Amino acid sequence: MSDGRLDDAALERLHRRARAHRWGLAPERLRRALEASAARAFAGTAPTDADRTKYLESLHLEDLALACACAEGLDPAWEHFVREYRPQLYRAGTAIAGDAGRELADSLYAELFGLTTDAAGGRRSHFTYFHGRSSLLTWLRTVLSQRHVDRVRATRRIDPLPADETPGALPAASHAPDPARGRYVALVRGALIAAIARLAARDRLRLSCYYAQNLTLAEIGRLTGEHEATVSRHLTRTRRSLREAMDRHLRDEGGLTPDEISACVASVAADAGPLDLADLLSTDPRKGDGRDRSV
Amino acid sequence: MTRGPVPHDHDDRPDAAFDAVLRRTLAGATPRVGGGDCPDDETLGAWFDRTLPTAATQEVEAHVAGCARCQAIATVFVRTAVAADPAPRFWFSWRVRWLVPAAAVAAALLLWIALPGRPDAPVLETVTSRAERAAGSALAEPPASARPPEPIPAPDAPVGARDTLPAVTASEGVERAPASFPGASAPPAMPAAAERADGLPKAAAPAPGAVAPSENRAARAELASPTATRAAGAPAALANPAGSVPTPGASAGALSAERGAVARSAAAADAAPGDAIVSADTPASRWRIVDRRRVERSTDGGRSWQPAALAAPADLIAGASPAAGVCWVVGRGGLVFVTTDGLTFRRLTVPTSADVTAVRAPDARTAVVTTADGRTFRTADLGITWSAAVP
Repeated sequence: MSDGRLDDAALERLHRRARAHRWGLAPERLRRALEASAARAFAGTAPTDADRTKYLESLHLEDLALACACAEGLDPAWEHFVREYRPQLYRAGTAIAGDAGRELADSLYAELFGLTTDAAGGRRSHFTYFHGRSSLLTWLRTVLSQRHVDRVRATRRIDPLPADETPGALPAASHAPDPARGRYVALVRGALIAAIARLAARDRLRLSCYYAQNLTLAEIGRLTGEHEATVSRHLTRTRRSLREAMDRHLRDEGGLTPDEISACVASVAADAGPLDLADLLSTDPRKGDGRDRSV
Repeated sequence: MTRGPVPHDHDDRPDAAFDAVLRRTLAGATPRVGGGDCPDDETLGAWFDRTLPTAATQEVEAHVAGCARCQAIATVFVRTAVAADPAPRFWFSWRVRWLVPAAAVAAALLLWIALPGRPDAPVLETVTSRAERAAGSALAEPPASARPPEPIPAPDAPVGARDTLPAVTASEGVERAPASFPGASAPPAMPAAAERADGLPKAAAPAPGAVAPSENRAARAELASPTATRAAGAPAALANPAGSVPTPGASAGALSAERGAVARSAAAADAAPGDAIVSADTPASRWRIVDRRRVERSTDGGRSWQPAALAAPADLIAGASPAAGVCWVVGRGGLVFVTTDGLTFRRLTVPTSADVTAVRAPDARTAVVTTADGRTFRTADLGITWSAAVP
């Protein structure tokens, strides 16, 4: 392998491992896919041959070969995809979007089939965006999930806010305005900014999944590859450290007494107001630099 | 689904106020549009699959921790775990995988022997009876030129699955379907399955008086596997609807044909099962799978049958009915259906795409399904959530 080009021996080995012969996929077509996948994975870097080989060996080669063959329009591959993957695609669509899932899956299926055209006016199967880094089924489910989320978010942006008198309107504070609330919110915000910024990424992930997304401990564990007991233990620890850091901040920086700290927390809890922890949770230094975060 | 224990505060007592601060502020956080900053779909997919290198995993986690869009995607993904198969456990390794079907067959055999009301010791199908079966099957099947030859058991197949099936005997007082019963046609989308389904004896309505000897056994069999289903439920389901007494010759032919069906049903691991009959615990309420594509229900003990609607096309293998009006049917490609009204089967999302070859339903909300590769999944909420179960 040199200059990013896969040597013939490696190609033959990978072609055999991918069982690409089942679909009649030419080795050269698989070579292009493998080289494209490696180029994408190592964009901006100069990997060694060993690194590149290790990466290629780690790919979901059979899925990649199937995707390539489908993109090429090879009948055996399509028959296999229709038989084995299409039902799962539609099942996933229904699970994700309910009644709208069929349309969601239809849309993706049409793109996989190559019914969409690219900028140059030519047909391009969406399979060409699959590079074998995940399993084909996971990729399909991820694409469906992304599209569903983007659709919902777009819909929410154009939905009018509920009128004040409607039941869905944001509840107003039921108590008299707390004159110290503004100060309390600023103190809590400052404390949480400092504390959350010190958390490890995975701790922030667990925290936001639990409190913002309402995922169960088991679901969080599925994302992070941990047992739910482990997730619970880490969440407890994170929460404890946040509380301790906030109390310390309120005491040291705000000069609050223990009673005032309790009143501060109670006040903010009753009406969190404009606090936006999405900003607090994001500590990505490259935020907004426009760089593609694909890895 | 419960969210699990809520983490406690620093002195291990619930801190509702601080919990509310976190919950309200995080849940009300302004959604951020990830845009070009978000990982692409394949990177997210690889993160879900946990196949990313460590550095890339940390980078994705750092992003998702602060990106409402990616969190939402992850939430949708993880909550619709259609194919989120659990990590393979050691007992599913190839070395011991054969133990699962072997144990299932052994359990079915023990059940058969232990159940009361059995008139005779089970007649074990031997090599000789297999030859008889092959001859008899030919009576009910299209010309040999139209069918593939009888499948030869694989050398590594469990012996019990093919050679020790309890044969259905005429001494059970059950009338048989005519030997010339027409074969079933299979969906064109599955040519291989269609070939295997052709010529299998088609289930017919049982005669009113022909079900008593097998009633108890059929009800208890609950379709632990297609094999058990056929062995226990077939006599009732294959009764002659006309109620006529078959001639010895016709009976023998039909018996042999049925044995052929039993053998195919037993070979579920080869994805060539026969149609299955479901018996409910309420004797008058019965189900049957017809042509492997349709489900019919009888509420009068099998005198009449009404079709039930399936939410999607299916290649069905087995079923179970824990109560009148409730029925589970399973099939190829991870298909699991359930009905609770006795009329319409809705399709469930199960965490596997493998062929589902057996289902057991202990009660109206609980079911345990077994896949062809030996894995078992359990639901206790009518299929809303599933968990991997120890077989």
